[in-house]
Amino acid sequence: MKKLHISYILFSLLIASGCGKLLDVKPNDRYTTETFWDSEKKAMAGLAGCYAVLHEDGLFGYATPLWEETATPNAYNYDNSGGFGVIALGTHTATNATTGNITGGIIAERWLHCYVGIGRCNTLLANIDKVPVMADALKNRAKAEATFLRALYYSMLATYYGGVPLILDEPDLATQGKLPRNTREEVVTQVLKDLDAAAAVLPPKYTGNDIGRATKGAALALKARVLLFEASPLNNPSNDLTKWSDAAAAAKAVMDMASTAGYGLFPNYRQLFMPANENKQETVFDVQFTVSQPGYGSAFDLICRQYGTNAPLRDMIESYLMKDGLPAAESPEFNPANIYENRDPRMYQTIVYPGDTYLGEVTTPSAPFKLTGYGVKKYSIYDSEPSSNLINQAGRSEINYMVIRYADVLLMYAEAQNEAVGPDENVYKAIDTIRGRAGMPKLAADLTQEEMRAAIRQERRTELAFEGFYYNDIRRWKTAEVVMNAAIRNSEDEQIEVRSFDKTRDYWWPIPHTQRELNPNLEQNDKY
Amino acid sequence: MKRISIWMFGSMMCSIIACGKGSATPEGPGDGNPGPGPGTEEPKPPATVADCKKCIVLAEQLHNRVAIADVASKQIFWEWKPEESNVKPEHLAWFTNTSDAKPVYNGKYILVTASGGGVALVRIADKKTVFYAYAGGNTHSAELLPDGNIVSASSTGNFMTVFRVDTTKAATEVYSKNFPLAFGHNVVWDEKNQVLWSAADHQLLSFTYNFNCGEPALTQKDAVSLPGKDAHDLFPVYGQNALWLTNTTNVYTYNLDTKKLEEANVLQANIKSVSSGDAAFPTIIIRPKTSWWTDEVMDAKGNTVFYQSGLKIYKARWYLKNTFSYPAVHDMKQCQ
Repeated sequence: MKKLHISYILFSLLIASGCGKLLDVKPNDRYTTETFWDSEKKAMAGLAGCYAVLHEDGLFGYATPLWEETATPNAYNYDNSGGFGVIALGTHTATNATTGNITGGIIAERWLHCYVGIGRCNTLLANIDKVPVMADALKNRAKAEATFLRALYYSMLATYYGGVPLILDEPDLATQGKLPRNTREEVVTQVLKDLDAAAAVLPPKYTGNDIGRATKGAALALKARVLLFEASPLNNPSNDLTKWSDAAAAAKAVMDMASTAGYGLFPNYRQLFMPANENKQETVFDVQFTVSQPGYGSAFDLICRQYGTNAPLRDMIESYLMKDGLPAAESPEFNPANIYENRDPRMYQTIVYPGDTYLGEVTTPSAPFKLTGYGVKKYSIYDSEPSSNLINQAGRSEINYMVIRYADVLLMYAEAQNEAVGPDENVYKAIDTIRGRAGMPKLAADLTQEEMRAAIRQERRTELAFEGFYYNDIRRWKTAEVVMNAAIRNSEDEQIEVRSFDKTRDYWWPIPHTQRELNPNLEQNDKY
Repeated sequence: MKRISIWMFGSMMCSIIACGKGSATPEGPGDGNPGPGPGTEEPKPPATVADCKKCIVLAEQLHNRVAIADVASKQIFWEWKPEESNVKPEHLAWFTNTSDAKPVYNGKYILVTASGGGVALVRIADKKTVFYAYAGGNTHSAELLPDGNIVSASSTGNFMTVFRVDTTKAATEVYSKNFPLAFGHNVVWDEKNQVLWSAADHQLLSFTYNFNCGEPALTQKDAVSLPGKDAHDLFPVYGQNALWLTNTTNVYTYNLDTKKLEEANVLQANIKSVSSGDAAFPTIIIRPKTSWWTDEVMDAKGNTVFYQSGLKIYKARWYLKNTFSYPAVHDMKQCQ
């Protein structure tokens, strides 16, 4: 099935096989699998093709990770950009999975682009040994990078759809086109196997033009994310504590290599998300966007400043703790007449609110962010100062998107460790390190495991706000059925719409109908 | 000497067809609706597009259509929707989010593009889509070439697409060829100088056309550096040898005689389209209120020229003759 939408390499292969039958000649106007893998340069170009998929709309391209936040109580996507609006409303189906404004529906796009990436990685893994002149060390590293990327793409599929056809050979329509779904457990097992294999080979860091490639830390951190998803209530109903300890150990492995890889928290939370500070100590794995060539950037600035399709909601404002570390209801710092005063400093570095100054002008509930009254600063170059660099064009933003950053590793570790053994000093240390960078006080001592769980969840929501991770957090915590069955409100506390979430259906995405038409052996998820 | 050049040809046949099939507006006594109260004389829209005195052609995305609005009556009285024309159902997605609509062929046709990738030539009289094809890459605008072929510009695709216009071909069998064009948003034919202009990102480029009807191709000729980036609209200044040019921050005019670029005396920043006319026609602009669209066509100072709540107008062009791009007599033609 996946063959129909796989890489240019496969396409070339099919063309080549057709030519061969007729004339038995090799075309010289295009690459084929037979002719492509003959030099180190081409092999590395093939590997670049494996990475290039990260720029696709179904993965992290355009504004997809920013829009993913809109399927949570944090943000609102008013025009169904990327198809996230219907997910937020709970009206997504296998049929409307392809529909989205600006970019196609994420449910169809993610499936498609993950398999495009998998096809490219499998092609590289199956062919790179044919390259006659290429150092073994580089070949092995290239294979490890492709193995990591394959694991990333499969982990995305397993995270959103559950089990999918597990294909590890290079694309072949005849043998793979009608494969049924493997179980989710089988896919996850392969992902973990790939990540271990990649981590054993990949270097802890790179220099020069190689910065941005997958590292050992990236493989270990993705392993931690996968294991955390497995340990969480959605997938661990019996609360098997070994799953939590496995996740904690995986995150700890990344922390243990902090000195060799140079990991740490970037000192300034706001500046962390600016182009000048890309690829610094907090980056574990990121998507490299550039504006040096048209079309290789993201649309982050366009979305945040002008389109407003990731508009923050009042619920997000109210979720921020006060600067003394207390919730608004318990804090003397809270001023009901101005709910924006004295919040966690990260709020001011993340969100534009009415009365705030943005691009040199004081904002109101209707201008310039007319949809909710709020705008997003994070992952955008725009802030309080005026700017003459107004980006009105998709593909014009160059800030890299961090798929995994070190603060998330600390948060993953703290959460898993707290569940596995309780709120020990390592849990406190991880959370307090993050709060310290933000300028927030340390956690209160002697929290119960349950209180620590709540504090960690609070911390994840605040620290990672608008980065596209919260959707999977509320899924794996199984809190989506509560927080997504609710009205959403703008800055004036007016209701925008009422969302719904079917806990018997919506924790998993449907298999897009377009894929089931190609491959009728793909069983649909429950209730779709 | 330039004069207001509203098209007045409207043959009897066109009038009959347009009257019978064209009215998209339920308003007005002629339709049996209650008219305005006694003593008031609300203007009525023209009977046909050819009768327009002051009309605006809108790329309107709420209904994925081209709409023609009459300023005096404040009504949209003509529209083209692909699903109500002869566009095949499987190609309707090509016409999602109408991105430009230029009156061409002496006001008898409209050249349409949509972000979905579609390019169409529509006959106003009967709303027939006489030619359509797919460019893709977020198509933003198109232009007629002198032999009737069409060129379009696509933004995220970073290309121009040249189509061989042969109305006997199915949409999927149309010959086309892509040429690189950074952040392609616009294309304008220069009849006098016989070149195609495109403001591509931060450069104003000119291209020569090979006039090979069967295998049309464009070759870059000159490049003029532009201030700013993300050039958006490029459209002739009415009655002058000059072009309107908009980008993220400014609106300029580029005088082809003096080769000078000057900031225009209109609202600046994030202007999606500009269109001008003779003295009786204010320069009209589109400035988004939400995302990339608005419900209002404004003049250069921000006064309302046409407004209809809820519309998603992306571009607006006066329904006027375009002597910059086309000859005085300009009948529909196709590749032969």
